[in-house]
Formats: sequence, C-alpha cells, structure tokens
Amino acid sequence: MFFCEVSRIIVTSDETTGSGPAPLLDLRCIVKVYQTPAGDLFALKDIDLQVYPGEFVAVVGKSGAGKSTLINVITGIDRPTSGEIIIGGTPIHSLKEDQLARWRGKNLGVVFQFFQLLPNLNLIENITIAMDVCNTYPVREHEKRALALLDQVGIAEHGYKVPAKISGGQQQRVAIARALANDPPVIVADEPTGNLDERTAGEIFDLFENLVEQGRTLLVVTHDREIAARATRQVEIADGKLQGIGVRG
Amino acid sequence: MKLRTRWRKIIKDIWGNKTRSLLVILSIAVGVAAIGMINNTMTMLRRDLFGAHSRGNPASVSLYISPFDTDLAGAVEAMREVETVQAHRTLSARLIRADGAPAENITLDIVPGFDKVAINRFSIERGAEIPGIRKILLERCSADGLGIDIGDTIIIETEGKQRYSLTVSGIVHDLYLIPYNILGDATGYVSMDTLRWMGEQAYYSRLDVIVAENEGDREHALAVAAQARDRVIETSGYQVYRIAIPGINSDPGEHWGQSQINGFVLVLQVMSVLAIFLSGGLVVNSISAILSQQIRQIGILRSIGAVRSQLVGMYVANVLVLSVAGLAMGLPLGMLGAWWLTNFAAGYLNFDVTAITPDPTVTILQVAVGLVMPIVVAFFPIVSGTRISVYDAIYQQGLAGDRQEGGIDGLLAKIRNLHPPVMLSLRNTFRKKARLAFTLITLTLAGAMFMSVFSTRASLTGQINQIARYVAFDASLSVTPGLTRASVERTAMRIPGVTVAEGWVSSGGILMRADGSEGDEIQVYGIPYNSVTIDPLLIDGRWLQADDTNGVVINDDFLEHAPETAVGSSITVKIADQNRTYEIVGIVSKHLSGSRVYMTYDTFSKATGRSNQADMVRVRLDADKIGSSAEQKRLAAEIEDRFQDAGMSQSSSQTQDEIFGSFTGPFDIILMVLVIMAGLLAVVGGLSLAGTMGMNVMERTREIGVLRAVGANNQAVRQVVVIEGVVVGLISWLLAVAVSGPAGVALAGAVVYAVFKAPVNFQYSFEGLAIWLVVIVLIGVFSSLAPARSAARLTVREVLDYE
Amino acid sequence: MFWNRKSKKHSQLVGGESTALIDLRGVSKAYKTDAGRFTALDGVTLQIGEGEFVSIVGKSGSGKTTLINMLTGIDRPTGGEIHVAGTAVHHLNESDTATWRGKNLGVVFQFFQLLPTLTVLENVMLPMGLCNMYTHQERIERARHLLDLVGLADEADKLPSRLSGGQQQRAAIARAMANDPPIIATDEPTGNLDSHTAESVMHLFESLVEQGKTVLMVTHDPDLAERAPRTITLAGGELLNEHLVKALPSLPHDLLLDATRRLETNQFAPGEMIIEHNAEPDKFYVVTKGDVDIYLPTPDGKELLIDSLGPGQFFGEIALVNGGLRTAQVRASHVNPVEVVALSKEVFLNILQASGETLNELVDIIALRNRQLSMVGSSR
Repeated sequence: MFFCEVSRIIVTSDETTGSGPAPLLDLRCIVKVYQTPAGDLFALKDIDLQVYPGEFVAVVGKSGAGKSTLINVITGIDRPTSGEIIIGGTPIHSLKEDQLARWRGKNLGVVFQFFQLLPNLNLIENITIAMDVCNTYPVREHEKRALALLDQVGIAEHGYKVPAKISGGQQQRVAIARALANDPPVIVADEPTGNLDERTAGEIFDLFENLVEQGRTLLVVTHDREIAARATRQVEIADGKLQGIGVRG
Repeated sequence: MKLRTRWRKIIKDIWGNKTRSLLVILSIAVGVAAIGMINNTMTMLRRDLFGAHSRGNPASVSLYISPFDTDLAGAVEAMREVETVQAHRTLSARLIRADGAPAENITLDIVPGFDKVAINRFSIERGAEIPGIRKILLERCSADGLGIDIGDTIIIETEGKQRYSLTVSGIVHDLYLIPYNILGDATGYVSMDTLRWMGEQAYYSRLDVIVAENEGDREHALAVAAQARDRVIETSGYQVYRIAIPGINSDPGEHWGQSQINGFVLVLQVMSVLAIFLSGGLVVNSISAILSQQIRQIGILRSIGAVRSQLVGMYVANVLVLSVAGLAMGLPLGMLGAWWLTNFAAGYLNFDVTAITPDPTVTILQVAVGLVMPIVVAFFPIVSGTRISVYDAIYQQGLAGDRQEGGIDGLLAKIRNLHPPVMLSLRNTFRKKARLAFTLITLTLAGAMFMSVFSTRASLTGQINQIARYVAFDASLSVTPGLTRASVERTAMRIPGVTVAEGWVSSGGILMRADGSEGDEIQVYGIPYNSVTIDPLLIDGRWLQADDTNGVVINDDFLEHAPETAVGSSITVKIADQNRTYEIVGIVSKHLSGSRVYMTYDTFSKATGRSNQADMVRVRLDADKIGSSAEQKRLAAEIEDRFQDAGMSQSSSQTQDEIFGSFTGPFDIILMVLVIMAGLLAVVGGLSLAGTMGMNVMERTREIGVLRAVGANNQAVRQVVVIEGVVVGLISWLLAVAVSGPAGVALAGAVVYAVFKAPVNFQYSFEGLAIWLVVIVLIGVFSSLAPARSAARLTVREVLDYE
Repeated sequence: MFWNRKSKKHSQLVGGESTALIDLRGVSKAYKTDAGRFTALDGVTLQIGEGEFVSIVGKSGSGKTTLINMLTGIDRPTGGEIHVAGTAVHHLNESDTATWRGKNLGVVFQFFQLLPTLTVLENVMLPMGLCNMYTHQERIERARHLLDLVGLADEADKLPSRLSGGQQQRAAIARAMANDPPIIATDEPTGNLDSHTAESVMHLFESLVEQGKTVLMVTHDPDLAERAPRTITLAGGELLNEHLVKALPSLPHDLLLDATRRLETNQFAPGEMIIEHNAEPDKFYVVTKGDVDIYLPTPDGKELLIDSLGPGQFFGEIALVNGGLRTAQVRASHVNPVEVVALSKEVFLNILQASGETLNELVDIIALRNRQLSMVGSSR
C-alpha cells in the first residue's frame, strides 16, 4: 500500500482563492484499482485533493490519465478501492447506493460530457424531474423555478422544446441548469466542453465563471488546457497521480 | 401541469415508443378478451341454456310403451317414487314440400293438453297455443330451416302413404329436442283430433317421468322406471318396449348436449389460459426491451438523485398505464366476443339469450389478469433492470461483453468452420439466456398447441372413420315386422346396382346384473357372422363365427355400466321376458350406438323365437367401396319406393351420409375453432419472436456498425439477424415436437371424450409437424426481416457516434 | 452462400502517376439540424500518398472526426469528391461502401470494438470471411500470423473480455490488417489506454508504416500527433495550411484559419529569385514544395549560400519584424521548382500582434538567423 502521508500535497490558504478554513471537497488517499485479466490496473494512485468553498478548480491531463475515474469517484458514480471522500462534511464513500443517490441529488450538481438529457422530456421537464425525485421544492413551484434557471443560462425561450431540437451547446446549458436545479453548493463537470466547438465552449465557461461568482464551488475535468486556464486553480493528473498545482496569476 | 414530472416522463415514454406500447397493450387485451369471451359465454350458457332447460322440468327417464291412454299415465304418476309424468305420442312422417324440394323427415308430437305440458315444457313463440284440427305447430328451428311460417300449408305423408294438408298455426320453441339443423329431422305438433283426422289411432306411445328424489341419479331413474313397468304398466296389460334416459349419454335432467358443450368449453378455457401465459411472455419481453432501451436514462435519473424505489415505482406505473389501457380494450372486446359466441351457440343449439351481461366474477378475473398479471410478471425485469449502476448505465462504451457462462457457450465455441455471419448468429442467439428462454417458451407452447390441434383433428377424423366402419352400407331401411329375411333380401337385391343386401334382426333387452336385478337397456342384434355391412374394430377377443351358438360380441359401451365384462366372462340378458346367459367372445369399440350385443342368427332365433326374420335391411352398391353421396341418395329413394310398393316397409331409408351428417357438423365447428386458436397462437408466437429480435438488434446496433466497418454488406448484415431468428425458431420447433406428443394426447383426449364420451384413439399428425416447421421458419425469417432491414439501414456513423 | 469460395484477388492499386492514394477535392459536409444548418467540413482539398503516416488534429468540433469518417466511407459528403485507392467513394451506396472498406481500409476504433462473442482469432478472421478473401484454412493461418505479429499469439483462442485494453487494441489492429488493406484509419487509438500500453500501440503503427501502409490517425493529443511525420490540422471545418502550421505552431487555430484563407500561393522555377536583397519587405513566406536557398550577395556580385530551407520553414520575416530592408536574398533551389505560400505584411503583422508567443518565438529565430548572417558575413 502507498503511504499517503508522505506524498500529501499541502495547500496553504493564501495560495487559493475564496479560501475558508475547512475544505468543501476533501479527498484523502484515494486509490482505484481495476482487476483485469492482464493484472491489476491502478487508475488512481494515492489522490489527495482539497477544494475550498468558492473555488473553480480544473483537473487537467491526457486521455487515460485518470481524470474521468477521479470525477466518477468524486460524484460517487464509481467507488474508490480505498481512501476517503468527504464532501460538505459527509463521508460519501461510506454511503449506500440509494443514500448516495439521494445525497448527490441535493448536494452535487453533475454535468456530463455528453449532456445526458432525457430525450422524451422537454427542457423544462428535464430540470423539474431533478426537483421531483429529490422532493426539494413543492410541485407547483417546479415549472417557475425551471424557467428561471433556463433564463439564467440564456435559453428560456426554448423551454418547451425537446433536447433533439436544440444544438449541443444549448443542451449543455440545459445540463448546467439541471445541475443547479436543487441548488447544490458544488458543481462537478466531466469534460463539459468536450463535444462543443471552441466558441460555444468559451460561452459555457463564461457560465461557469458566473456560477463561481454566485458563490458556488466548481470542479471541472478537461483535457483542453486553454479552457482549463480560465479556472482559479489547475491540478494536473497523469497516470493516476496528481502532479502539481497551477494557480492563475 | 400539476402532474409530477416523473409521471409525465412515463406518459411521454409510452407515447414515444408507440409500437412497443401498443404491442404490450394488445397482448394484455387479447388475454383479457379471451377470458371474458369464453367465461362470460359459459355463464350465459349456464343461465340461458342449462338454466332454462332445468326450469322447464326436464324428464328423468322415458318409457316407450305399447299404445296407452292417460289413465295409465295417471296411475304411474300416483307412484310414490314418481313426481310427474307426461304422455306423448310420437309419429314419424314425411313432410312433402310444395316447391318440389326433397321430402323431409318430420316427427309429429302429440300431447294430451298443449296448455298443460308438465315435463320438457315447450313454449309458444307465435301464433295459436293449441293447434286446432288440421292445424300444426312447428318447432321454430324446423320452421326456419324449411322456410315455413304461420299460415303456410304443408303436406304430411304418414307411413301409410296417405297425404294430408295441414296449415301451420303456431311456432313453438322446444329446448328439449335436438334441433332440426343438427338432427336433420323436423318436429311438428298436432292435436289428437288432427291425428284421428289423419287416420291414425288415438293413443300415446311414450311416457316421460320425473322421479321424486335423487333426480340426477342414473341408476335410480332406471330403477324407478323398472318399478313403474313392473308394478303398474305391465300389470295393467301394457308392454314396455324400451326404457331410456333422454339425451346423448346424458344423466337424468341434463340437457341433451350438456357434457359435449361442457367439454368443448373446457377446451376453450384451457386455450384462454394458454393465451394468458403467452401474453404474459410477451409482456415480459416487451418490458425488458423497454428497460434495456432506458438504461442510460435510468443512470441519469440516479445521478440526479433518484433512489431505487422511485425508479421501480416509475416503471411499475408504466406497466400499470399499459395494463389499464389493455384492460380498457380487452373488457369490451371480450364482451363483444361473448356476445358473438353466445348468439352463435344460441342459434346453433336453439335457445334464447336473455341478456348479454358481464359476469362480475369474470370481470374480477379479467382485472386480475389484466392488471395484476402484467405487474407481477414485469416486476422481476424491472427490479433487475433498475439495479444497474450509474457507471455502467451511462458509460456503456465499447461492446458489452456479456458474461459468458460455460455450457452452451463452451459448446458453441467449439463450432469453428462456419461462415462468419452464421457463427455470429449462432453465438448471438445464446447471449441473453433469460430472454431466449422466454421467447422459446412462448414459441414452443404455441408450436406444441398448433401441432396438438392438428393431432386432435387427425384423431377426431380417425374416430369418425372408426364409427363409419359400423355403418358400412350405402343405405338402410327398417322393414315391417314379421317379414322373412329371405324375402327382404331378395327384394333388395332386385334393385339394380345392389350387390349386397343383409337382413338384420333386433330386439330390445335388459342387462341382468349378477344379483338378479335389472340393469341397463341394451339392443340385441342377430346378424350374419360374415357381414360386410359392419367392419368391427375388435378391442379384445374375436368376431362371431359360423358355429357360435352361445358366443356373443358386445361393444365397449358396456364397460361404463358393467365394468366386469370381459372376454371369457358371461353375460345375462333378458330378452322377451327370458333370461339368457351367453359367453362374451369378443368386445368391439364404441360407436355411438349405445350398448349392443351382436349374435348369430341362430343364437338370436333361439332367444326370441324369431327365426329367419328381418327387421331392417342394409344394402350396398359395391362390396368394396361405399358409394358417393348422390349414389346413396338414389339408392335410398329406390329402396324406399320398392319396399313401400311391396308393402314391406313404411319407413324412410337412411344413407350413411345422413347418419354422419349429424356427427360431422359439430365436429367441424370444433375443429374450426381449434384451428383459429392455433392460428392465433402462431401470431402471438411470431409477435414474441419479432419483439425479441427487435430488442436484440437494437442492443447490438454498435456491433452492426462494427460489422459494417470491417466490410459487411447489406446481405451479410441481414444474414446475421435473420439466421438468429431462424435458429431460435428451429430450436423452438424441436422443443415443440418433443412436447407435442403428450400435449396432443391431452388435447385430443379431452376433445374426443367431451364429444364421444369415449377414449381417444390417438393419431399423431405429422402433417401438423411439417406445417409448423414451415410456419416457424417463415416466422423466424419475417420477424427478423424488419429489424434486419432497419439494422442494415443504419449508417456506421449513426451507430458509432458517441453523441 | 455459406461455404468458402476461392480467394478473389483484391483490387490492386491503380498505379501512381497523378492519382494519389487518397484524394479529396472540395469536400464539404453540412447538416440540417433542428437548430439550423451546421457545416462540419468546408471545401477540404488534400492528397495523401502511399506509406504516409498522417495525424489529423484539431479542436473539438473542428471536423477531424467528420474528415476521417469521409475518408473511411463511414459518412458521405454533401459536396466534393473523395477518391480512395482508385475508387470514387462518394458514389458508392452504404452496402458497397462496406464491401469496399473491408478490402481497402482497416479501421481501429478508440474503444477497440471487438465482437464479444467471437474469440480473438475469429475476430481477426471476420473481415476475411465477410469479403470472401482466402480459403478457410488460409484465413486461420493468416489470422494466427497477424496475431503473432502484434504479440498476441497465445491469446488467439480467448474471448475479448479476457484481454486487457492494450491487448484488445492490438487485436483490433490485427483485425484491421486482416485483408491486407493499403490504408489504416484510426480515431484516438490510445484514448483508452495507459501511457505504457499506448506506447506499444504506437510502435505497431510505426512498423506498419515501415511496411508501406498508409496510417491516418485522428487525435487531440499533441504528443501523439507529433509522432506522425505529417500533420493535417482542421479548424472550424476547414483545413489549415500544413506548412503554415508547422512554421508557426504557437499560433492559435482561429488565427491560423484566418491566415490560411489569406494565403497566396506562388510557384517559382528552379533558380528563380524570390526575395531580392535590400528590397522593400512586403510578404512573409513559407515553403510548401521544394527547397529555397538563402544567399548573401557579395560585393563582387556573387552569392554566398547561407542556408537551405524546405517545406514547413518560413523566411522573409526579419525585415518585417525589425523594420528596414531585406537582409538576404532568396532563390528557388536550382534543382526543382518551388512552391511557397505568402502572407501580406499587414496580415503578418496583425498575427504577431495577436499572438505574443509567436512573436517571441520569431524573435528568437530572427536572432539566430542574424547571428548566422553576421558569422558568414564576417568569415568571408
């Protein structure tokens, strides 16, 4: 086993933006091992990462470096082989499937690379369903709130269309609005601009910056370094290990 | 607006995949409708046919007596064991039609008081209740069949060849007769006055009796009749010719066709249960398909906070919506079917339907099948389908390598030298084993039933042909009692074309039990030992021989009421008041004739004192084959004329066709219904396979894209899909063949027993086997073609696009 | 239909002369989506020859995947022509394309895409069977041989699920080679592999190129792209001039796209003067075909050869950046005609203004070249 304590990367408070005494996302000694017929594959080796409230963190690395595994472990979509994940004080690694799902719905907004909108529902419904399954707001407020969120991301006029009728960039906006549906403190995005052209990608990142200005905490995984440069802090991952910290000057 | 988004998702999902949703709804509707149609019909039959029947005081037993009057009837009624009696006079006659159509047989029925019929009460439909002089009432079925109505004049020709003109003054509904359309004989009702006017003697010939207690007991009814005969009738100087319980192998008080109808309905109920199973299988397949299409969405929902129970709830709601729709479609359809079937039965069996109303019990059953069954059946796929982890649901990239268990997959891995599409198809067939199992079960059941239906048809036909052996003549005729056999045969042989003429003689008898009590009525026949107008099927022992003086052959009907009869044992029969004991040398098969004893002429003459006499003559044009319908009719007409001219007969002749016409009618209906059911099963099986193939193709679109990318053209892609469909079909065929033996025996046995009350002589239909093979291959090809075509049409880009 | 036919000779390449192995002329692809008309490719013209190892790069949405889909026949252009291995691919229907592809193109996917119910050996045999190549026995032998080449001889009879990602990708490469196609096309071949395995896969591709195969590789990983001698860059559906990209690698793609659109192409006969010493600087040049020679004129009217530049190298920048007149003389080489592309002074200076990094790089190179000039000048 690895000895995390030795390689722990310490983040001092004055090197981060929006610092507070306690990290909102606290990953400790995360290891993810896959058993394949060709032997053990270490996808994440000893990840130690703290993200503070109000930060906009970009995790960069090449394909196969472990970015997706990392984000999946953070969102609970995948389970670490060992290590602890504490988000907002909740040790999510010890939650059971259903508990985890419920916790995630209320506390973590997830934005996927391929948008992952429900194809048969219109945009408003794609957002209200998040409120519906988590029971966070009274039913009669759902539609109003959804429209407000769509407005925030700039596509309220398409509210009654289905995802197939709008462009990729617009779909990603809807996905972001959905991630905000239950007003979570943390947003996590996996290659959010991976499927978009450069201009649209820039617009999405504008949106992200807006969210951070509102006080949310944002963790984004991307292979595009130009986009990553817009974050307040960059973390590099290669071959399953975190390399260094880059702070935007 | 108020509806929660998750329910709106369900509605949109259902609407978004209309074909699949419709398939589920239809399959539920079919199951529900089948149950409704058959069971509601049964309820209505029970109410309007059997119920009406028992309300009209059905007779327990009938006695055929030498001419008697109402005093005798009264005397019998006075018996403690007797509840009611009703005297009848029945008379065979001919109905001559004005338009030159062939004459019809008509039975004239006379009762003492048309307004006070106590047993087997018929009712007046239209017109006069009591027929005046020279007036006749017709049974409504006869009237409809002959196209005669009130006011029409018909000509009745009695056995003495006298013709009388009668006017129809009323139409009667008589539930207690076998109707004209089945029996072939019309029935009319006249008053005793009219009978006298027609030159007949005024007496009664039959006494119907209802016993005071144990109404349903066969033995008791026969015993009471015997007592009536011994204590009252014969002591008063009359003779009882025959005691019989009305109906076809019926129990006292039963409708004449009750057991046949019940048997038939039972078969239909089995079929409807099967339909439920099949629709259940379809539902499972479809729900699994829906779930596998929704995998990604399930992952998304879980990622945004949905817990397992919410997901399960959503898809159960999905099934519920489809079930309700299926129920909404099936309930009225079932009622419609019941309406049709009941009316059809009413027309056929001559009863009235009072109201088409749904039976609450049946409705509950339908709701159970329509609502509960789909949910129960879909529960497991829903629970296991929602178990998928978010990771697998969303990140299903690449080609899913389903866990390969050993066994079949190991075997398949050993098959090497095949063309790639074939090999791929073979392996693909066994990938989703649970789904394959469901599809196979559905198809196998359908196939087994299909083949069983054909076997049943073959067995029924075989059974009928078997019976035909006992009436191996072109025409037969009853002759006036007392004639010599020689004269009868001679007269018959004089008819041009006749090569065989056999005079048979018969008598009624009573089977005596070991304890000396009287048993059933039986018929005793004196026949030539080398008769060619009977080709008996020996079950045991041997046929009659020339030197048989004490040996007799009985038919299998005896076994029902005297199970100890066997070859070698003895049998005691009371003929002409004398007990005779014979040795059973052979037992022949049942042939819808009632219990019979066949003996040589000599044996017969010793028992009855009637030697060299004949009661009937059986003729053939050709010793080797039975004549055509037309030939038989001509012969019958000729023989009638000849014998009547010679004063030797006053009856009408019966051809073999006529005897069979009354059998084959109902059988054809049964067969038609069975074949329709078989067709339905084939359709359901085909739908099930189409659904499975569609699902398989949809899940493998990526694989198809890869095939395309490495060089598979349209034909190759289609091959991969179609071969899989055909392989599944062929496997199901093999399984169905394995099951079709016992299934066929069960079905054929049930149907034949219901109709004939005889065990089946099972004939396996290889024709059915072959036809189903063709059908299943066609099903396999056609149910895969549509998915195959859509698979081939997908462009590689669409399929490999990760967007 | 099921039984093996004798192998058909697969289509021989129509020999050299003017038809390149891969020839795209004005290829466009536009989609009508519900959100409007979207152009994925716009007027792409390019040629690729035998034995080339080409990487196709570009940002997300630049059209690189669409381009390779065009080349492999997986997608069909809405305009232009595509000639691959002598066949006008854009004319074929879906089914015929599949057949053509099976014989002429090996495709290697990012997610390997081996058929899970067939063994590795059967997967490699599949294309041969589908295209009716070789006899059955030959197929088995050939497949084993190919698997041996990629180092999977022992895994031949296993199912793909029993193999690691790297092994599956190697098996996929063996499958791509099944019908001995002249072209291998691959989209992010190492996207799902760790760096170690990725390396072995790239080795395989390189060895294929050595054998004379043409390998086309789409990737967004610049390090991977670097391993291919030639890189085709797409931006916004249009091809960037390769040589310009090679010359000014630090320029962002939008600027490169703009520059590409404004390029002037000039041909020069062998020995022809391109830049005269002390002339007014008006253009920035990049060599695209052939070589140019840099001279410093001597007082006695001769020319001193300073340097030779080939395709992908630029010249004419010194005077534009530093101001003043042309510092050297440039001619087309005496051996072959030369083709250059040129940007006007205005465009060039705008570019430099927009990209500080490029300016810095240029300054460094200019300093280097000036040193070169002065060294030569002084040693005379």
